[in-house]
Amino acid sequence: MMPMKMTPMTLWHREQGAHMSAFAGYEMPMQYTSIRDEHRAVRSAVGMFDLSHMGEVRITGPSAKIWVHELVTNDVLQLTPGSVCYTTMCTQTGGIIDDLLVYCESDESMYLVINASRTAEDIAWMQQNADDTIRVADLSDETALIAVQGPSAAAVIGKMGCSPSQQPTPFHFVDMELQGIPVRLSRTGYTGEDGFEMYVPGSRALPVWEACASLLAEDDGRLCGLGARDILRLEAGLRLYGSDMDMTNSPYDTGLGWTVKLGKEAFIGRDALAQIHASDSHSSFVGLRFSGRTIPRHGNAVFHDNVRIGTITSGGFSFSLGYPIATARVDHEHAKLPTYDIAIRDTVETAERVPLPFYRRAQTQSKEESRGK
Amino acid sequence: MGSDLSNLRFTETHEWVDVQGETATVGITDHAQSQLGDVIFVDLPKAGRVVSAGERIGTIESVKAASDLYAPVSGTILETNTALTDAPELINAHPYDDGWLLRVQPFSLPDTPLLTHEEYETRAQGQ
Repeated sequence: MMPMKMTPMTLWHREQGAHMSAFAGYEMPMQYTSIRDEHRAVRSAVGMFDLSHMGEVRITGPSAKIWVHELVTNDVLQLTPGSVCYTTMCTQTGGIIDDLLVYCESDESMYLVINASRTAEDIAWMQQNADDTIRVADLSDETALIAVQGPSAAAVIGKMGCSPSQQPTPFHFVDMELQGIPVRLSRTGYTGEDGFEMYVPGSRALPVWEACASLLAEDDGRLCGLGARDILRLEAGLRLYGSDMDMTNSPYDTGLGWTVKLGKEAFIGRDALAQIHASDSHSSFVGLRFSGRTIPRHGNAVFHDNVRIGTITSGGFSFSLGYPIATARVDHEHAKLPTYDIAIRDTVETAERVPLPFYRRAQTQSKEESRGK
Repeated sequence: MGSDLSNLRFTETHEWVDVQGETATVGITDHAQSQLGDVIFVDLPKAGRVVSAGERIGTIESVKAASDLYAPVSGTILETNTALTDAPELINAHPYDDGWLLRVQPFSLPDTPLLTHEEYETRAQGQ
């Protein structure tokens, strides 16, 4: 067996008594104290996550931006330097290889943030599709990622030395020095709250983490593990590769059709995706609300009139809403039913279809955000 | 009850039982709650139900998974811990006292061999 990889903070987490667990080959903190408390901190104040397992790739070459535009499904050409977009990357037949963030550095340099579990496949795919003018550099091992998420995230980042006026707006980033350390500060996240993600050279990450951790307490913040992150992202309707999608699904099967810009001249998977889109033969992705005391889990079967019509992709208990929630992939013709029957262990629970996301933060957000519109 | 675990007896399925006279109090171990993570719901048998040692008598739903609860002894359910309805986190915070699950009136003294704390810890660590 391969030894587990560590992030620059793994030993620190262990010393803090975090529950550590294997995730995508890394030893990662699942929770420090309680997932319930960590979740609450992010919704009401601020939480901090070590996400250094995520993969980072830099694409360089005279036509790097155009090349990425043709690699992924979303419109990358509209990105200006300093802006970010979410997209899927598909095979020729429209299967999702990964979902990722695309950072535009310049026309000649693009930065991609990919799932840890998909790094090897993604990079192989990119190299396979690159010509000799494109360079694909895997920066994953040398890059740490620290997320600060929650309504007080901007205050914490301010105390780190980046005043509100310097802070990037949502889906933008700036490269700067924080406490003398080069940081890519990105206003993005996976929790449904305002927040930041900081990409830091791995060798310099621990001081940034420690400085930020020591500021957390002033704002009722908490260290958070991947357990809280999973519930936060589910409530926010954000997809998880491996649970909500894989190579056998298209973006349309996963409710991510909005990331596919069929109007683009050419990109990998375009013809297949256009056909899937036109045929209406794809599955639908729905949100479900449960009223019972049984929690739906990934893989549970979805029924209508005793016929199986789908599968739960993610499920859990929403601390924000106080009831169990799930997302499911169901046959297209059954996408609009008001209720569905879910087989969970030895019972059948009826769930109500609700729009995604389950949770949306109050729209009285910081001025920063309205400025970004 | 307190935190002296030497008087408790344990099952391989991670329940503890504390027999005091005619009453056996049952809960799950600290190891079990730690493995489960935050408990969300507990589904427990109603008072009056007769249960057999080793029988599945309830479910503990945590953030991570649903886990079965097994009766450590045979007997009649006397009561369940109603505080858990509003505060299931007691199981995580105080698995050996405030987080107890139910009380049973055992038919006789333990009808299946139960483990001492030391024996339980040795086995739990081996898992």
